Amino acid sequence: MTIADYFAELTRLLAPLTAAERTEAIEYFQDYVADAQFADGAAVTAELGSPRQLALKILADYSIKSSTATSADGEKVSPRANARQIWTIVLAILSAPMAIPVAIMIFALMLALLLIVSALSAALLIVLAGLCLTGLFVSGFALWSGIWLVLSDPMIGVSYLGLGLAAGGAGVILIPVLKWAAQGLASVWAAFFRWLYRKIRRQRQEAIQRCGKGFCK
Amino acid sequence: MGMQISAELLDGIVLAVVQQADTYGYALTQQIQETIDISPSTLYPVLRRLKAQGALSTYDKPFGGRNRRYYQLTPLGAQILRDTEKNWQTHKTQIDYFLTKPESKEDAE
Repeated sequence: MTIADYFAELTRLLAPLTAAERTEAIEYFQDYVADAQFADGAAVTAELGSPRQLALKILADYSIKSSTATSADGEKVSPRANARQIWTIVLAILSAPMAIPVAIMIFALMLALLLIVSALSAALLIVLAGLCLTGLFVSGFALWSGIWLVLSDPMIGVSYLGLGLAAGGAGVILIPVLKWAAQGLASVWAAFFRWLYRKIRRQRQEAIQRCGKGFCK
Repeated sequence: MGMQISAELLDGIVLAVVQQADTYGYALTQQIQETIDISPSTLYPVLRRLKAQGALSTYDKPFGGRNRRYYQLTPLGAQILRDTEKNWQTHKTQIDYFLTKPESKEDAE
């Protein structure tokens, strides 16, 4: 194995790194080999290990440090590094002893419950508003046709007028109900979010206090 | 050396060597290997990490028809080195309390 072969193999094995990371590592070890004046690939292997051993050592360091180190450097975190991190996190979640998947499930259930309740309260308001509008619309229509029918057919005309007034009354009665329902729901929702906010903040503060007492590290 | 050196101490050792004079990968490895049995492949990740932290900076200098990469201590690196030296003194005293025999302590005094 020549020294060129050694580095060709090392370059191939460092494929998981980004081009910049790979170039930096290769350059460092090429520099090293040039300064050490190794005769051939065998001498390089004796000092640095086989290309595979060296590549594993470099990659192992990246798998732990890549996210913090490259971002601290001010360089952009590569998409590949991000993808790697996401996979690591997914694997960590899947391999975590139940607690994290269960927490995610509970969170998803709570979110679903929240969505259902908000959809129901929106539906209630829409139905009330719909009833109110329908009442006023029916009332307008019946009164309008009643006025004209009174002239040709007084009995039918009067009953239309009566229907119109009744529908109008029902619609008007529903307006305060609608207002009351809207205000009630709004205050319940506001109270819920205030509660949620307080709970989250308290948990965070408790966590901070615990950390301050040195319980977490 | 049979005992594992922590990453923090290894960082400190590298920073201390670079503080004496700007140096390049091979020379740095040789200098550390005079005292500590460490493989060259272990030092690359340390140098890379210190550079990423901003504790070391690099510059290239032509040598024998190629560029040799030199490592240089930054002010942040000097600060980290001072902290590590301080932590090591504390740590050393604590460990010595248990592991150094009283008579040898007296000898040392």
